[in-house]
Amino acid sequence: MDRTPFAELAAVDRLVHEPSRLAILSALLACAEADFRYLLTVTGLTKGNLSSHLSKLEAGGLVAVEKGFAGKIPWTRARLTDDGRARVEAHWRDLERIRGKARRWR
Amino acid sequence: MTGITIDDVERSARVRAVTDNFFFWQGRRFIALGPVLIVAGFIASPWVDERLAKGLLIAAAVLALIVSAYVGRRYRAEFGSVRPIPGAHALRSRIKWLLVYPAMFASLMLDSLYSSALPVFLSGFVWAVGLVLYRKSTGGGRVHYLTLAACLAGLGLVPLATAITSRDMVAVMMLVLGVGYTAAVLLDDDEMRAVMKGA
Repeated sequence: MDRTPFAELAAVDRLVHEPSRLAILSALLACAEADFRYLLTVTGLTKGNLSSHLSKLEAGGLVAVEKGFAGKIPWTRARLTDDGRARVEAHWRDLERIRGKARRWR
Repeated sequence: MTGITIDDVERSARVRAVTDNFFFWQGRRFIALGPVLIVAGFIASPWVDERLAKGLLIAAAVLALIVSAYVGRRYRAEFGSVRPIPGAHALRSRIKWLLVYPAMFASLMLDSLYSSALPVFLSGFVWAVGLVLYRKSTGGGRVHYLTLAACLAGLGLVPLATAITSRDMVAVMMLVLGVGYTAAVLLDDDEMRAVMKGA
């Protein structure tokens, strides 16, 4: 039997698909690199939560994080790794398919 | 773990569209272009001294560059920055520079040469199409561009119902474009904030 779009949503990759992480990855998918401030705004996360999610994504090999200083001001930039980009693109293709299916299902 | 919904998927799609076109959604960067178009409208009108109007246009253009740089710094401080993917929009750039801009310029030339009864008939329509393409190629949303495009396309027919002369009509089109553009970029900023901050 054909699964409903909601059943398909329940079966997707959880490292990528957790809402906060998907927001981070979606933003990174559309650019070469984003800074910490941008990711804070777009996700609405606290600094601590964003750091924690970035660490998980870095440990999972999806994201590369660079840190440094501009004078005395610290900066953090994140980008998708090649493997991460391929995984997130594949994930988005699945989501688009599920989204289309959900529209028809409504 | 929090569950994810179809609405989350929709929001992520919007965030991706804004991130991919972040520069273009920072509407206030371009706000000074509105007054430049309004000044250009006055230059095209018969009521303003031409030398004064040209001076005003140059001053407005310089001011637009300064304002754009200042607002860009404010956006970076408030929202952070993204580095675009090199070459990601090469096709868009080619279409813009090789097709859309030349068509907009050519329509103005053709209107000035041939359309004395309907002085902005072709250019109103072509510029409206340009706006619709701009909206579509920079992430969709922002339905106010469709309203502005409809106004521009409709302007071409105004002389049929009024006593506006050819030269006045070009001025009216520039004024409508300047006022409409100013409103549109403010609405861009509102919509960008709503998407970015999850409203």
